[in-house]
Amino acid sequence: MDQKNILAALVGQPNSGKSTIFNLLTRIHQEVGNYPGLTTAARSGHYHQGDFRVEVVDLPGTYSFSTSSEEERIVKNILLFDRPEVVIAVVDAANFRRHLSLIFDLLEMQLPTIICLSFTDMARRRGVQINPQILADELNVPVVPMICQRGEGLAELREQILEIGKRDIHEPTCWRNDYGGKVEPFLAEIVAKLNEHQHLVEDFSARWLAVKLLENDREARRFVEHHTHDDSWQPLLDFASKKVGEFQKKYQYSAKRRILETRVQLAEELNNWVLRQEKPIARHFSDRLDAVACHPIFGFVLLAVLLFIIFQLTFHLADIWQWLPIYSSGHWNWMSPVELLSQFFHTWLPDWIEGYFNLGSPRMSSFLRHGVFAGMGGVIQFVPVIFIMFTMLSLLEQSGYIARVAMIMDSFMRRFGLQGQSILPMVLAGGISGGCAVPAIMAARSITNFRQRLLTSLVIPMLNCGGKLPVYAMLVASCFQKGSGLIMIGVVFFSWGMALGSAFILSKTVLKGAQIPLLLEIPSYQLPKMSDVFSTAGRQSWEFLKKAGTIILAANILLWFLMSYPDTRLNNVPVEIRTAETRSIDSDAPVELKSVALPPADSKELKADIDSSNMLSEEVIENSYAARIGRSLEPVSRYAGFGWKDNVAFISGLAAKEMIVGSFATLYGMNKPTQQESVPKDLIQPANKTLNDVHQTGQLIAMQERIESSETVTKSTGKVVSGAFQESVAEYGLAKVFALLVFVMLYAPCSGTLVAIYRISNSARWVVVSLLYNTIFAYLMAVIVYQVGRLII
Amino acid sequence: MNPENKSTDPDRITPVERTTQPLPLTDLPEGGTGTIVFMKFDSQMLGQFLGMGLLPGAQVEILVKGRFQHRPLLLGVGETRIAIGQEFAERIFVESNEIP
Repeated sequence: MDQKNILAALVGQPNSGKSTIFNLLTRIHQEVGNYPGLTTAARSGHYHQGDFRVEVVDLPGTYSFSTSSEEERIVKNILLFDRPEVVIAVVDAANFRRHLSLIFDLLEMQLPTIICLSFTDMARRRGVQINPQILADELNVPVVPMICQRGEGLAELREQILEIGKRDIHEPTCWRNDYGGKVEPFLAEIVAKLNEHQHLVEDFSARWLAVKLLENDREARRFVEHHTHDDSWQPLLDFASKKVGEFQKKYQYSAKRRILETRVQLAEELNNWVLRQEKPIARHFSDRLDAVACHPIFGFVLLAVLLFIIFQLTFHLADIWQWLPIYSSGHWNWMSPVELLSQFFHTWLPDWIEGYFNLGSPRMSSFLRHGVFAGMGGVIQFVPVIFIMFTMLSLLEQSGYIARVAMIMDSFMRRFGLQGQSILPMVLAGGISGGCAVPAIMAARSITNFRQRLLTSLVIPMLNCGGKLPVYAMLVASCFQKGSGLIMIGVVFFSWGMALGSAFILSKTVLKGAQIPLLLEIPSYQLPKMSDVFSTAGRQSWEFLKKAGTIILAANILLWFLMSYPDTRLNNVPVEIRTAETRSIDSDAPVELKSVALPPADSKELKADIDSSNMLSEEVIENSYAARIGRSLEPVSRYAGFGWKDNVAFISGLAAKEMIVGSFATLYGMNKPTQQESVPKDLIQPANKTLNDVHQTGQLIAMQERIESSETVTKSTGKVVSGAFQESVAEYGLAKVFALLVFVMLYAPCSGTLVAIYRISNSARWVVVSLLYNTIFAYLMAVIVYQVGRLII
Repeated sequence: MNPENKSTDPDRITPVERTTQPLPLTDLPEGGTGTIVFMKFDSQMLGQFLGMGLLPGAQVEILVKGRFQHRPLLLGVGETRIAIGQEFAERIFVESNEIP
């Protein structure tokens, strides 16, 4: 079928209801956040009507067309160069007047505009009556009033889009703003000059360009320059600059001011014609709530209570409460969603695949279990936590509370070069413990200033995400008999200190720039629409899942390869294993790794031996490429007290932090069958004691539960911290434990986070900065902790 | 930012006739209302303020005012609520509606 395509662009101020109208039009659910500036990139969807396919683009919200913000540039470029057949200007009826300046710009640009009045019901409740007919007559454009919640007016809007979109030639509007006796002569002169440049007048509205040039608008000058292929733009721009100077000299007043003033007057006039205020503007219920929510003291209390509830609910629902009945091995069990997923990926799925495809080879089995499913499962088991957390945050966002959080936290965050909007991503990343940097960086996209957005994303990985907590639990449980709860609280405060301190350092060095004071529209409170809440949470969880399927899987396979090859057990090298085992980090002997090139084992005896053991065993790792890398780092890492085993564990954490605890377990020999029986009892005791200590302090319960659940996972896989690690600690002292804690907390972000940083900054440069800065910073901190610790402890 | 300079500042708009000395917005008490007389911003920034409805002649109300320094203010301008940093607020000059 031959279908004609119509491109319709949605333009409007932030929070004007653009995204809601977009959803109504396309029926593809998109994020509808009650938070200014949620749509930072253009999104599109489509629908069919008759013979036409209408493509709708939801453009970023802009307050006006007279600043040079990133959003405005995107909008202007799409409007002027993609030439949509229809431009739908969304105007919040309750805030009618302030939207007019944007409308004037659209009309002056001679764009085929439809005005769509959103929230007319809310405006009516507040006593604001708008007469759409008068507005349509005054501006000579179609006006469609809508009630977004009920979808009223949608049919008419679609009708109008079709009406305008199917025209072959756009008729220029006869609306024209008179800028008065001072400005008009200057405009006429510039228009005359522009008419000499045929290509410009054909592609842009001459009057709009003249107005912008007289305003001395940087963007307009750039358009002229880039849109002219020869050198003729130079005299044209010089002429415009001369006129700007002449106006200033003649009237002692800038032309831009005069133009803005006439527009303000016109808006006022139009407002009086179109709008009837039946009730005086009164304080709303919203304002009474804000008296508490934005209060300098109660505001903080409310925020703390809400965050506490969110974390409690998140971890109880996803992780602690065993509310899923699962039928396995002949009887029903209760499991929490996290446990279920962990079981599925670590046991059931690999077992089934092995059985189904009849994979006998230990290499294949190890590849599946350790290379593919362990890493994937490690990430996917967090999906329930993430989904529930995003549901809660989406609730807060749609209700309008998040903008208030940005306001009350602003002055505190500013001391560290951040701003109020940074607080939420930081909490998501694990500010209270147990979160994830990837969705947090996704949430940081709502920060409008690029520098601030980047700065927030760079310090986010220093907070305590869910992947680091099992490491802390292991370290603390195995080395401290008392006071472990206190240490955990200390860890939380320390990580905040480090993240804020880093933000301060970065904002004074690589991300230097003037601080722009807060200017944020605070939307009125709204009852969240549950379908939107769940679809937002679902989409964000999906983004997170995609990471598991792609980058983490790839990183994990690479890591498995590094840790499994070369497989020395196929060679006759038991002696070399010995030497490696007895090496200490203090030995200055150069690393000797002879890869004895013997013919591959063909003796059946040896093969059978290999078959019976796990591929990713201690012996394999000790001679693997990963161990070689780990050893080559020893000369540097030993100043922080780290041996090659620690280094290998850190490297594995680059794939996902969840890997670290497993690597520690493997490297420090937790897989030895002889230890498996004896270890759990005396280790789970101190571990439980730790948890009790944490519990007794009455704080950070969420964290404790997080640890508890990781405990069940480790129990089930039989990887519990063994005496080997305690021996290692005895050798290097407690200072090493603290150094490990600090390093794991601060060093380079995991692969998924790096991808998120790349997406948000759009440059590999910041990925490198993040890798290097975090690692060097973490190393220095660990060295300080280790060296000072050795003196004290 | 210095009120003494305002008469020589080319960047100001004064469509409202003055009766009393205008105050910076930060000097209004919580709950106080006023009419914007002039704003000292470059034209770039001014566009953003106009889009939010903050312009000379507009009625503003201080809904929440922090007691500490550098706390943002919560303003009511018509139906719009705006959180504004102190550095911005002290460049907006208003005429207080209450006669002291």
